[in-house]
Amino acid sequence: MIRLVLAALLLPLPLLAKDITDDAGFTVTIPDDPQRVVSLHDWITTVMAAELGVPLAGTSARLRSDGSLYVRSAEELFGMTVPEVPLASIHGQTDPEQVAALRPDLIIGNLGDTLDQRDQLALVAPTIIMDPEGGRDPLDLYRAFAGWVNRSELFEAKLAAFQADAQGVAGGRDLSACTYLPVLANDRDGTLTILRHYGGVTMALDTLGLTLADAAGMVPESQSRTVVSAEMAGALRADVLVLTYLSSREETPDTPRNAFDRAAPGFLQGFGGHVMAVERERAYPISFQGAAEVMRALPADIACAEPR
Amino acid sequence: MILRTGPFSAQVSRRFLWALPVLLAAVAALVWIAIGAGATPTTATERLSALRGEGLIGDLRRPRILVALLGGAMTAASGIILQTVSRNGLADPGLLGLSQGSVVAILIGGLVFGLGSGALVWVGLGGALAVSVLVLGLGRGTLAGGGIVLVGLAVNIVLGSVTEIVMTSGDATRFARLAVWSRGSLAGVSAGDLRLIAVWALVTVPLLLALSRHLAPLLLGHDAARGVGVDTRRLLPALVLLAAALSAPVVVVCGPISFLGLIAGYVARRLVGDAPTEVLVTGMILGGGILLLADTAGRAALAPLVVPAGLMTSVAGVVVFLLAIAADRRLNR
Repeated sequence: MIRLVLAALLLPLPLLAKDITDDAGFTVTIPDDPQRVVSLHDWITTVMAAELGVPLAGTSARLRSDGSLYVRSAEELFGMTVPEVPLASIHGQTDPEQVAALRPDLIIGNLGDTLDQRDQLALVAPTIIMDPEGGRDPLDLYRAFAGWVNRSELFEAKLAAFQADAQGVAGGRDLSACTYLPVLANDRDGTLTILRHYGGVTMALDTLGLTLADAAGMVPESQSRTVVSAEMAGALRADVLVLTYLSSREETPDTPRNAFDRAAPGFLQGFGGHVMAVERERAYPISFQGAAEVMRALPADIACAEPR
Repeated sequence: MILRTGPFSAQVSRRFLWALPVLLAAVAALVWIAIGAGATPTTATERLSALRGEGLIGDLRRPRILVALLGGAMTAASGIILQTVSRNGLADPGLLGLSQGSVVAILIGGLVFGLGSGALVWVGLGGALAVSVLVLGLGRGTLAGGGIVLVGLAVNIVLGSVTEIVMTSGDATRFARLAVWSRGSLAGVSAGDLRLIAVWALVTVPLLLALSRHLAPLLLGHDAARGVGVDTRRLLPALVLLAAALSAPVVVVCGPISFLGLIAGYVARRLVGDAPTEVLVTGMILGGGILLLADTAGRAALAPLVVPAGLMTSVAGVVVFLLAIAADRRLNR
């Protein structure tokens, strides 16, 4: 009896943990309140972590042409730099040992870059795979992420504030008749990438009440984007065409317009709706801050009688 | 020189007797360096523990090192068999399109039919075999000398285009996942991958060594080999099947590792001469060592940058390819 009591006393305190199923279908037991998170996708998971104040033990980052490192989007939106947050990997070149050296208690990667190394990473710490391009609504992805890192309450509070902000931006206008479509023009191969879900753009314009244009139906259900020939430009009917540019590559708002002109000459000139160009580093990530900026970039004079 | 141990005897060259221990020592030194190289500094004791598979370092580095040694040896053996069968020192599973045949078959098997890695080896084997029959058939029947390499390159280009189409026809996620593997990388190697490669090595390598004594007559030409009693109608398809079976599991786990067979075969012949069994054994040790060196350098030399081993062997391979061509020219003058 004494032995049993002693054994019970010596048992470690039950670890606070929960089981989740990630986007790759793995059931993972993760800490209830992770304190050392390694994020392996800078402009998706690192941005969300930064906005929700998640304690990051490391992040992936990219190499600039001058050899310096930067955390795409997290730097533009939240001023995050390496080594202020330690480097976990160069984007898409994960070294599990480098991740292990950061002593994480949770690793969050994405399907495209991390899945093939999941077995190795799982030896280091519980590893969650997120699929940001799998066709799910950005707010759903963000909500799931917040749950993994014990920030659900903060997420809901930020969401409520964001929705209130959207009401202010709308200023009483009913924008439900307005349609929008995010598109990337690829002038090198004459194609257009049509996006159904596009991070902060989707969060902003959906919350303002706009509707995604019918052309987005070309994107398969399980994906967020599809590539079509530029000859399909005629099918892109929307009140607002959303173009993006990478300021980190010294692109300007004219860059996507020029690319569109080369891929589909004359289309933009004949396009009847509004064309807005936003900075991809701020608009693509799933964040309330970036989405709020997109909301404010929406043309003030937008008014739509009936869906285009 | 004839070595005798009890009832067994084998004729070996002096060069082979010198080269074998030197190469084995070099590979052992490489293993010691590789088990110690990485983001976490290690003491000698920790390296020994890791070599026994203990601790996180052992879990992460040991499978990768063993897959590099086994996969490199198998790819090298595949190349040396193809060089003997085609009687062309430039033949290589990557250069002749066998690896790319496996890649296309694996992509279709994995993406269209959702097959797992165990089944994908068989699919990759089918792809490599189909390409080898096509290339060896066309190359031998229609072109002399380096014709087989030209046919291999042409098939490689076509299959490379098919690979690109498959990769870019999906979403961005698919492209990102396949981009690293299609360049030949050991970054994703796990203990499960090691088991898969080891099983195939256990089956194919003994077969290879058993068949290797029949390789010498093939160097004289297929007609001459038949003249000394070799049944080439059975032996040649068996060797091609074996070359494909050696290459396919490596492609499943690591992606295509180009030029390794060419480099290993060329250097092995320079070291030990033309005796096929000696070239095979030497080439396999070299292949394992080269792939381990490429992978270790790729993950540690430029850290935090990671360079796929396949890119490293391609760069080294082009240099050896040019050296081999230059050496052939000198011989033919």
